[in-house]
Amino acid sequence: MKNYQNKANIVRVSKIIRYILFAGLVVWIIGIPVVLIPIVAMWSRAVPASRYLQCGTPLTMAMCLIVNLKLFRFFDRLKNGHLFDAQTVGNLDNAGRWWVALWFFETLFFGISHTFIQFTNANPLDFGSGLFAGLTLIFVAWLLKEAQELQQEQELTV
Amino acid sequence: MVGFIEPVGTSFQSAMAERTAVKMIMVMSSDLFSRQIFLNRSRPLHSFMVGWTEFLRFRSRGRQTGPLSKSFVSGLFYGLYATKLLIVIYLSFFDKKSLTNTIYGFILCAMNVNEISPNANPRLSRIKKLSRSLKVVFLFYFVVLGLVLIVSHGQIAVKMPIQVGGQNFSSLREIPAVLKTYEAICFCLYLLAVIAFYRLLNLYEKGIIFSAENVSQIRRLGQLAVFYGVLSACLPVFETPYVKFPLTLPLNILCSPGFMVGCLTIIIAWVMDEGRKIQEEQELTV
Repeated sequence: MKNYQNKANIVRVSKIIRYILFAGLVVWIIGIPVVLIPIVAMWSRAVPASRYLQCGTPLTMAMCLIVNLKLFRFFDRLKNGHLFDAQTVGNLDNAGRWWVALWFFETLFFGISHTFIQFTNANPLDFGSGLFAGLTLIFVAWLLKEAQELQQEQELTV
Repeated sequence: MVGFIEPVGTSFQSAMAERTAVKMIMVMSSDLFSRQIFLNRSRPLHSFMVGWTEFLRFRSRGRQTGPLSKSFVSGLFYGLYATKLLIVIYLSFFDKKSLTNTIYGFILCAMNVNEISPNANPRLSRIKKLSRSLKVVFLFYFVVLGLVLIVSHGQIAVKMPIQVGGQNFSSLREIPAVLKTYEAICFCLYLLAVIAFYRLLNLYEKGIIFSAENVSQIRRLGQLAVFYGVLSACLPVFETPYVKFPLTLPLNILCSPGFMVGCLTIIIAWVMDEGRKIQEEQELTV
């Protein structure tokens, strides 16, 4: 690991964010079975509209878990001081892609429920921030890839 | 092709050849330049260079040059037609030994081989394009949003309740001064963030990725987001003046999206600062 000047700051803040993300990870891991068990138990008695909503919720939660996991791994790498390597950049890129996928799924899921089932608790337009966040992460991953290439080139310079 | 003559067998040449070989392997493995594309594009250039070598060899020995071969002509045409491609392909030659052997001790070498050509970097051009599009979308969004707000304020907003901090007010006079101040500060933060983001996109559009200005704009964005997060978490305190310092306030601040996004942005600014240092160091390397 190179001795960066901002290293201490990056490691310190990454550690805090990593802890928060770890708490989120635990919540998702516990939350998915908690939601899934009643769904499985009440599957035969549920009406089709209810089944649709019950199926979509764990899937959304699973995608949230993946986004959380990728971000957790990204900050874990930062905490260990790996700023510009393929794995760090890959984690951020994947987090962005999964976030965009989550936005797409949520829009589709709530859009269908809004149109066909008249489920009005969620408005699909409220989830535009997910797309923005995902695209921003992908964009930042591109910038980090540039930095990664610069570092590789510098390491190869005689 | 502007070039200089490089002697064979020196440590400089072997080091450069090794470096180019490693770089080429990395580029090929990252699918930026596939093996098939490399072979297809390098064949005419190789024939051109072989033909040129023969021509030079005969001339240097005072002999009459023979008729130019077909491959040489096609290669020459190809080489003259696509100069940029020529440079790219030359830089991708990792096996320079075959070239060296045919030119009897000398190879033609492009100058400034260490310089990163903007045309040779597809990701950079992608970043530029995306920034340009984002800038247009961004401007369009704010102009349209502003127009909608102005129009709606004149027609509808008089009848609709004004929502501030989760509460509905029928008129502006009913809103408490503290909430008005809160809204004004939030609006200023929003405006400053928009300006910083626009400046950042402007820099990316110009192809400036790692500079002090970029880092300062990203850091400013992060600081504004953190400030906004803290402010929004403190909103319950503004709304209920009798609560002096709720115990849940630090937790509210820590869990507010603005605070989290701000921290993430500040970390990215620090990481970008490291990238800037690497680039500066690389620019200073001879």
